[in-house]
Amino acid sequence: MSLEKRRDVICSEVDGETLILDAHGSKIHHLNATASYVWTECDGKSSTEIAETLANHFNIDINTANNDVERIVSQFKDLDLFVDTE
Amino acid sequence: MMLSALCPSLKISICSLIRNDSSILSRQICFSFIGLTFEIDCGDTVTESLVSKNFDATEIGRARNAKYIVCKTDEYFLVESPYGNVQTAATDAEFLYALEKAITLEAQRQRPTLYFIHGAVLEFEGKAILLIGAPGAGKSTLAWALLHHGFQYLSDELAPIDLSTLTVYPYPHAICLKKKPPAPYALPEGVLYTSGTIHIPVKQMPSATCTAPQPVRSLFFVTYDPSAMEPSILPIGRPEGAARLYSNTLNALAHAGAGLGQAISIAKACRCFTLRSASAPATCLALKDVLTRAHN
Repeated sequence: MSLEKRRDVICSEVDGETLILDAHGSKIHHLNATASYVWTECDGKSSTEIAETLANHFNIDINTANNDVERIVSQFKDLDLFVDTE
Repeated sequence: MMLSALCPSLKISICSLIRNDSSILSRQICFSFIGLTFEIDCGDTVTESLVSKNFDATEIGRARNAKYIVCKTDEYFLVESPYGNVQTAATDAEFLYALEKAITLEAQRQRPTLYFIHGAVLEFEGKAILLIGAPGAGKSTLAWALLHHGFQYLSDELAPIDLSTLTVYPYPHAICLKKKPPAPYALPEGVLYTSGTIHIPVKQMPSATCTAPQPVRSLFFVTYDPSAMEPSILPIGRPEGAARLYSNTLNALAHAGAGLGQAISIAKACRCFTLRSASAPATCLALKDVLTRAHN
């Protein structure tokens, strides 16, 4: 399934981390460096594709990358930060 | 609630009587805030006493930027805004809350370029520190305690920041506590007790009060844990500081980009900490130690 982040949120990078302001939901989210990278890659890629780029970028094994991406994407979904592409 | 059913025309009539007949007026109380002049016309000695103990009145010769009319009838308090809207309040505490809220909203309306944060502000060695946190976190109690440790007073509830200079304006308003402070920070003479709050007038502060804007240098995000044996002050990164700051901003949406960039700018200019307070004396000493080391 492709992951597409919402474009109506306001994002700002600070010191390698990301702040996401969801004015619609009246929430502000703070992403660490790993989550910030995953967020950046959520432009239509699948979780598997993102995990591959994450593993290369941070020089980690693919299993760790898959677990990290799965966990982070699940949190993004819970926070309603994705466009419904179904 | 019978107050909400009060005839609007009757509320307006009572306030217009005060506005049009100076012989009814008990006292005009004026104060300066963020370069504006606020005037509160009190129609009786009860509201005069409440207002005078909450705002540090000054003699001001220039024109008023906002004028409020307040009075008390047999059953309720009235607050008329500069636009003629009249609010009612059942108790003295509710009256002060309604008046303060009206002034805060008007301040934001007249000075939209300022970044208004909900928090207490103190000065230490020429720099302002902000105590920010949820209601009941102990900001006001901690501010009151710190005034006994060499800090100077700027504000208890409101921190308007000039984004071009990153300075914070003072607000000549009483410290409002929900309960008596812990020892050894006893209340002074002249404190105002209402049905729900305790107000310490500006003139009763144990240290000097700042009347000029101060540069913002430290943000402390305050929580209170009654079971904590000792305070904990931990530095946090600028991203987290900006997010926490934004969550306590009153007029973020009045700024470009929904005010997020502005919160980031402020956090980048400051040292940011979480502060879990414990006993007041220990917390004050720990905070002062952090600031002293930071300034050195």
